[in-house]
Amino acid sequence: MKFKLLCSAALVVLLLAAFTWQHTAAKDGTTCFTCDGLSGLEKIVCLADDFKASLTSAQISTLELAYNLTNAAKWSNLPVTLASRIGIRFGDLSADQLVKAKALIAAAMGKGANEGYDEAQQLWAADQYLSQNGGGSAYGSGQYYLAFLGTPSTIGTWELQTGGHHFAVANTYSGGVMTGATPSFRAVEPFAAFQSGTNTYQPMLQERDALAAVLASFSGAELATAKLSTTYNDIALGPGKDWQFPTIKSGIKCIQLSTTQKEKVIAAIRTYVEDIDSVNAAAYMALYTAQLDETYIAYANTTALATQKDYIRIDGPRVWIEYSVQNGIVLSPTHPHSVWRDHLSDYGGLGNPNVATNNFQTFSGKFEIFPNPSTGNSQVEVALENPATLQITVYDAMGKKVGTDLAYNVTAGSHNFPMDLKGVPAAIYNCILTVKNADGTVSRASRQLSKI
Amino acid sequence: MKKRLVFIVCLTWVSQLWSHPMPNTLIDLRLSSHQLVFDLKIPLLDVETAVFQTNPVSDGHAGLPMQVFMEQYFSKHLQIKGLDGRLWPVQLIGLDTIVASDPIMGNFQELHLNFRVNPPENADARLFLLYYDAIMHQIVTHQAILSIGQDWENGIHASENATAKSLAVIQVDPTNGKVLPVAVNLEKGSIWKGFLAMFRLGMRHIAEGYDHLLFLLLLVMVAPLVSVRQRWDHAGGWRFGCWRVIKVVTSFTIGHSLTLVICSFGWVQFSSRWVEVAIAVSILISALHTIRPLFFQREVWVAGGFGLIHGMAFSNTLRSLALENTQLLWSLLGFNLGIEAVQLGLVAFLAPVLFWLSETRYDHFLRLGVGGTGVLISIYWMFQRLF
Repeated sequence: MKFKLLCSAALVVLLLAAFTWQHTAAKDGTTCFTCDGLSGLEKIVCLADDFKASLTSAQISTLELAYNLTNAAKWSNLPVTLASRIGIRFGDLSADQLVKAKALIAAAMGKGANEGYDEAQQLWAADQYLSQNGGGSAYGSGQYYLAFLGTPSTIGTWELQTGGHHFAVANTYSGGVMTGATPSFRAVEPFAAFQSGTNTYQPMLQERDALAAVLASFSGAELATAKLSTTYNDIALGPGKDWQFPTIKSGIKCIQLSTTQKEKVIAAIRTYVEDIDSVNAAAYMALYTAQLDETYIAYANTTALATQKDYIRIDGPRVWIEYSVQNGIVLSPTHPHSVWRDHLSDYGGLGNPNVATNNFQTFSGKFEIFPNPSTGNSQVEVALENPATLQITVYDAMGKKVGTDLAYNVTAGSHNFPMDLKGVPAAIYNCILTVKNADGTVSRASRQLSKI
Repeated sequence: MKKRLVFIVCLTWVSQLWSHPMPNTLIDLRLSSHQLVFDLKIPLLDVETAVFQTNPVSDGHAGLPMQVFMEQYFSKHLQIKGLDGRLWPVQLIGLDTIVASDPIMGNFQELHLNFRVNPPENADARLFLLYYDAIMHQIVTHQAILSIGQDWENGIHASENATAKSLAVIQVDPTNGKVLPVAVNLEKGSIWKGFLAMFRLGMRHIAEGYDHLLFLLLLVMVAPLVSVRQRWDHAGGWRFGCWRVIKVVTSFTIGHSLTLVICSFGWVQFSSRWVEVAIAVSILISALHTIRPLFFQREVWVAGGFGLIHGMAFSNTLRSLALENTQLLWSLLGFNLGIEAVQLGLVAFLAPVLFWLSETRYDHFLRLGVGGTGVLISIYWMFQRLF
């Protein structure tokens, strides 16, 4: 009797324990299970919320920041000790939090071998290798950051920003779709294969090989057309060089290439575009392929993309890819820097000066033209608090540009520039002042000027 | 060491702002009343690439002496125009190579050039357009950071780097491949501002110059004492002490002011290494004097003589600024008054304390302690400065 009672009690306890265990397990797994069932942006937002749920409120305030160009532009090729990043640092997360952060990044990136998330993991490993082989504590896989610019949502506008040394991802989402996949910066030191645990990685080999294959397919005449006379020590549109695409494209136009050559160009573009999820990658590839005939290939130095100062650029109506070989910083001999940008959708279009709907700050400093009305010779006076570059453009009533722009790099303080209107007919003109500050922000002001 | 640190800090700031790992050209602008000096530091590797390798035929310095070749190259890539559109004459006055250090690039060689620019008589030297595109006409990813290294009338000079101001970053505009001219407008300064900065420099110079401070302490320490039979015997009273301190400090001041003026104008020059050694010797002798009187009653002459040596050391700071005469005169006055202010403040504080101590029975131990320490430190300095 006593024995039976004991057995029942034991059974009850056992069952209760099992139930509780299963219950907690189910509870833990709930969000994960739910996110697993989702796809696309819904899954990304679900994982972002899951990650946020694991953070303290102080951590969330570090992670979640305002969506603006100043924050969006804070990526760099440099180690984090030399150019500070925003967001939350991998090294400051608990193991559990880091798993969630990486799950989110994985969902936002492509799944192919050596591309997307796989490439990201290899780049983190490369920095860890660099840290242990002479680079020191400025480098390492803990020195990467994740930030949300805006609140992750399937409706609103926000950017998933992640990066650190040699790595930058800027995925922008708005109204339920991806509106920007760039600037997407990739670089690696060492370029050569390196050992990480039991694995051997060479994360940028596919990119280099695909780009070098394009140049290798060129004839002597094609190479001559594609060659740039200037020298590149680095990529031209690195960090801080947003919306500065050359107005005139250089190199050889792809319409002049054979189908096989064009396929090589597409293959090279693919090694960048497929760093994002397959659905959006397909959309970008379709766009870039459709525009391929209008796309230019240019290079500098030698074609193998293996020695210092070797450089290649793919510049289309929308696509912009650069790859530059420079000296090793910690390890010999060389290492590449590379970026994929988009002429329209960098940062989801944030700060694009060619989009009329973008609101610029109004320039509030002194901007005067005298004498006004002008008989031909006037002076423009502009006063600035910080160094900046400025441009003054004169438009007629029809919105047509008149004369040549005044463009200067100016020191802080007050400046006078002569404005020559001798050749233009008597009328009322609109003078637009554009001031570009060192931090990339742009402000504008306009003044009316009569010529008599 | 300090200089190097400042340089590193400066570079770090620059990289942070511009997120560019390659070493850049640094252009330091030094302004005196009516003359500009551009101090250029260009990574030698980039000079090789942009100047010698890329256009070996048209730009190679075949046959030309380097000085002439560089003059020709920069006549195309460094131009200065006044507001009236006229070019200002630019003259290459210095050319050498130096080794620079960067936190991520390590050590690398730089081409170091000095250009002197003399604005026309009626032009405002603070207002001009700088057309600069050396190196970046070829290496389009290169950039030059223009900052103001010395502007006496605004109290800006190299030894007070915190006030050095970045003026502009010169770089190729990727949209059109052009380099914009820099419109420079430097804030107007004044003699008063320059004078004040020199006063502060003088104060800082002596406050940081432990050797001068130690020398002063040793002199004041024995001022109230009377020597009897080659020994420090007893305190001669406050009146006696005060009078002697005044005489010693005044004599020291006259001495160092004299050589400060003479050496700052460059009339006489001494090797700064031997001056530094001589200062250590002066401290050694003064330290020995606190233990056993060596020149009792002749302190005034000794202080004046050692003052001459210390003044030579003070003058190094001013000479390194390479000022022209009017500014140098005001600088001498400001700098010297700054030194005096700290010196007097210190003596006013130390003398009463030391006088009071000299009348207690601890005087003997204190003197031996300070004097002994002075001997050891000065011998250490002597060897350090000799080798």
